[in-house]
Amino acid sequence: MGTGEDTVNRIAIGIGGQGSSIVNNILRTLKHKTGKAPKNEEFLIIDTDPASANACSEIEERKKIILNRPDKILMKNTNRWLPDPYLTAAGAGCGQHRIYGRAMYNVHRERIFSAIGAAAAELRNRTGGRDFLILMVCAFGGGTGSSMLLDIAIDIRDWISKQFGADPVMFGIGILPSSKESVLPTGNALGTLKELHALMSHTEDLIIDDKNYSNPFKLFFLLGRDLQGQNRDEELERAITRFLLDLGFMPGGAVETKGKWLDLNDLQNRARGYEDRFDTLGYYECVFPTEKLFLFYDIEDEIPRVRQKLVEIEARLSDIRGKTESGRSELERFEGRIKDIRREINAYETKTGMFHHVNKAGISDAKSKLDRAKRKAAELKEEVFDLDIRVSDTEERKIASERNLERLGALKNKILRELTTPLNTRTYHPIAIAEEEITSLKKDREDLKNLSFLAIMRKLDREDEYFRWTHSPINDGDIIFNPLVNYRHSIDNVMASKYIDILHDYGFLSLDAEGNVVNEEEKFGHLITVLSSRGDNFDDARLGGGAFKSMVTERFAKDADVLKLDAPARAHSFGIYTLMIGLQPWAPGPGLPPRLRELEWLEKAYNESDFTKLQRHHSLFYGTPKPFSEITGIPYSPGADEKNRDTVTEYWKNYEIIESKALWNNVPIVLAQSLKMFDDLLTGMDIAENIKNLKVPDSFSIAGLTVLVQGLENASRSMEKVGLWTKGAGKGFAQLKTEFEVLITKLKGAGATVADKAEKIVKMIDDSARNMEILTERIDDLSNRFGEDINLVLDRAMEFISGIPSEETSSSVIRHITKAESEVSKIRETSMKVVRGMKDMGEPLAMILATLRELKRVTETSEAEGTGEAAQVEAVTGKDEELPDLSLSLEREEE
Amino acid sequence: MDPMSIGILIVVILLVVEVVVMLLLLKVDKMLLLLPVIGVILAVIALVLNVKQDLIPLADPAPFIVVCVMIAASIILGLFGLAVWFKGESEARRLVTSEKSIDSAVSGIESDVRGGGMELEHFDDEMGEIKSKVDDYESREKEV
Repeated sequence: MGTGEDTVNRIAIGIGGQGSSIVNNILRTLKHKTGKAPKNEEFLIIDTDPASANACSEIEERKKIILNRPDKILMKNTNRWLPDPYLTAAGAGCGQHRIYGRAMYNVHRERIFSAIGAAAAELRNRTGGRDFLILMVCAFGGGTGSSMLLDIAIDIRDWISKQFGADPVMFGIGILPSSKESVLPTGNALGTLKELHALMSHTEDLIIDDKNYSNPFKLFFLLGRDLQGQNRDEELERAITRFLLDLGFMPGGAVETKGKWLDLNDLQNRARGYEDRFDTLGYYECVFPTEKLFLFYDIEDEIPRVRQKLVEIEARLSDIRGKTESGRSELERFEGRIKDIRREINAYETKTGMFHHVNKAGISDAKSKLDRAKRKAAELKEEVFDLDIRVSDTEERKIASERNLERLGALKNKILRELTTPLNTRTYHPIAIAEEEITSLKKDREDLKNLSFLAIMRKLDREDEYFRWTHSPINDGDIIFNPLVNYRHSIDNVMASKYIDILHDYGFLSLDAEGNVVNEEEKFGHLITVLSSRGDNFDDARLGGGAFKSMVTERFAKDADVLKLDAPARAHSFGIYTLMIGLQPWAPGPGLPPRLRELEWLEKAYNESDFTKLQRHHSLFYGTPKPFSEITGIPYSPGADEKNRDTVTEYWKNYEIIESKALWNNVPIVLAQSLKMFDDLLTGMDIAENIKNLKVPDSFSIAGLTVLVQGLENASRSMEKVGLWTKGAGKGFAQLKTEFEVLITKLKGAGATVADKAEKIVKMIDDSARNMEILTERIDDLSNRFGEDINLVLDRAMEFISGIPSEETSSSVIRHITKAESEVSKIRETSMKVVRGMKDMGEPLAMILATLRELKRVTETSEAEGTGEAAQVEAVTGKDEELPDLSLSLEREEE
Repeated sequence: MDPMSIGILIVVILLVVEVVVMLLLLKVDKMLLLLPVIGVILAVIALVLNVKQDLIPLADPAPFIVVCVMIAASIILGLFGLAVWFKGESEARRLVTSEKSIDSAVSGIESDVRGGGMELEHFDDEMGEIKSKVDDYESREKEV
């Protein structure tokens, strides 16, 4: 954004505790940077917990919308659908119950509206602009933010649109709970994600009862509190604030940059086509800690000054103490003297007669002065006493100051530690400075302010290190793995290589020159990387932005931009911000882990709630059965509040966060799994076949007997394996069959797929079916003769054993014979189970075969539908057709 | 007029001047004035007797001796009056000096006490400044 006047009105709304806290932080940082809030911005918070709202000290009181809990009667009258247990909430705010949050919204809707409307109208009058950017921030785990976000977003969008004639640009930021949080917030987050995803998937206007249920957000950023297993709340709050402020989204146009680089329109253009998908942010900053260094120098200089001052104070205090003591004793002495003089004056005055002379005038003056001195001495005694106390107080304060000096010393040591061994995180990397460097840089302290980051590192002879921490993340592509959410770009590293081979053979993925898996389906939409630093910190030759862009577009994103932001104020920091637009959070295939790792623990927590408890995790559509019915196609019963509420809960329970088209990407994965299973089965059968090849010697010898015993031991182990294999195969077939059935059910509502993909899928199905037929025949054949073959070879072995001459039966031979007999008996027993297991495979195999035929039929139908639509889709989106997904089972690997 | 009379007249005049000065300028007690006043009377009698020696029914040189004694007595009385005044004045000066010395010593202590108080206030300010600096450094540390 340039430095020019920006007339876009911006409203930042924090909903709930965490959302409010983040908006408060943004405003605090903004005030700290610019000294005041900009005129085209408004910061509002909405919270149901007064304590949490009051803690947001930067927000004006009139901009705090604190919603008080209504009494049960009002709550019930406003929300007939609300179950009795949720008429009140435990704890603060909404008690982390989203259903209660929705009821609260219904009670306070008018108030929320009038407050936001007033703020919008005020902004409009102040700036004259009619365009609005609205940023909404909330945590997904709480009760307030997560439950009100969608309703507020829809209502504001509609209101601003009607009032000012243009839709506002709305961005959302949602904070996902960590894996260590309890079931309630974690389950809430999945409930919120489901509702948000459902809303976002409606890209066209959907007006029901004068309310537009289409997606209000242009971009919605998901951020995780738990990044790679560690709680990163502090990092997250800093990152959000830095991101919005440093890139100039808040406040608009305030960031000092040279030239135009990215504005709201550019951003919207890049997000076009991905509005129905989630987004996330990435943040990484490498800094030369100049400010910390300057602070260290200041403290280092300050400590001797303070120490000197305290020494002086101590000396003067002892001087004052001495003076007060001598003053006190002198004053006591003077009191006696004053009495004596007074007596003498009295005696002098009383002298009369011819032989005495009294100077009355002179002595009367002296008398009055003496009285005054007496009074003064008395007062001074008190003052000396007070002074004494004050000296004691000052001595105590001096001791406190000495403690302050110690604090300063400790602070100096702390800063020194932070300078020499800084705490590096994935998002923040301060350069470590050695003590000698700290000392040497002090001489050029003033110059440091003007030198660039790069120049300072050159001065320290650490230029290579500078490029390693600032330019290499681009060259090496590291920043793509640094989003503020746990996102798997590719799960090829946890996929069995056999799966990759199968998918590769069928053309669903390819490999680049370095052997990395390239799969169009895994790519997210658009990566925008912004490098923010002062111009002279960039070295274009070493940056390799073009190579980075190529690498990203080849492996991770459909499109990418690398933008340089010349920010003169950032002389000593090198920030790399990433916007990852159009994420695919869902699992790439059945049984595989989701790309958005957060979904793993969110789903686990959500599934822990039974149906009755599930409603506490949901909000949207409760109490509004008509829009729900029109949107979902599920009928509702007018007036049957409880029934309608349960229908909504049931709908959310079954809702899956996945695009219908993406379901087709699951098909090759499941087919690859089945093909892999068939391969494994064939290998198992080979092992089984090998058992009958046991070598039985023709005539007795000790060596021959030993070989036979070893052979029987190996055969026994193999037989056990085959036994386990037949048992596992039965379960595997059942699971595979279920996966196929679920998939087919989903695919029936998923719409058409593209012809090319359908063709490949059909080929895979055909191959699977053929493999299955071969497998069935082999199993049939093997199960018929396996028992006989094994018995034959075992009989030969027993024959050999019984033919051992009695004179040869030494103790060692007897041990061998016993072992051999035991193994034979084990093999016979297991072989019977194996035969039974093989025969049992027939039924599931036949069912899978039928399922495969059904899948083929669904695919071919879809292909036929898709052929007609393909041209239109191509014309509208202008994008390449998607290829199938590459991912395979993490969970199975872990198992 | 013989020289003796002139001398006595001078004594009379000096004693009168003493009386006037003591009365008007030194404002001495009236009782003390009796001494120079008696002196003046004796000197005047001595002057008269010196001029009219025949008034003294004694043979020479007795009248001369009487005159001399009287004039000596008047001089002694005049000087004694002055001595008494001087003694009273010295006593008064001594007392005033003592009073002044105490007054100045008390003032000295007072200025010490006030100075000490001001210094303490200054120290408090300085130590407050140290504390606020430390707080400031700590808050800056949190920001960097």
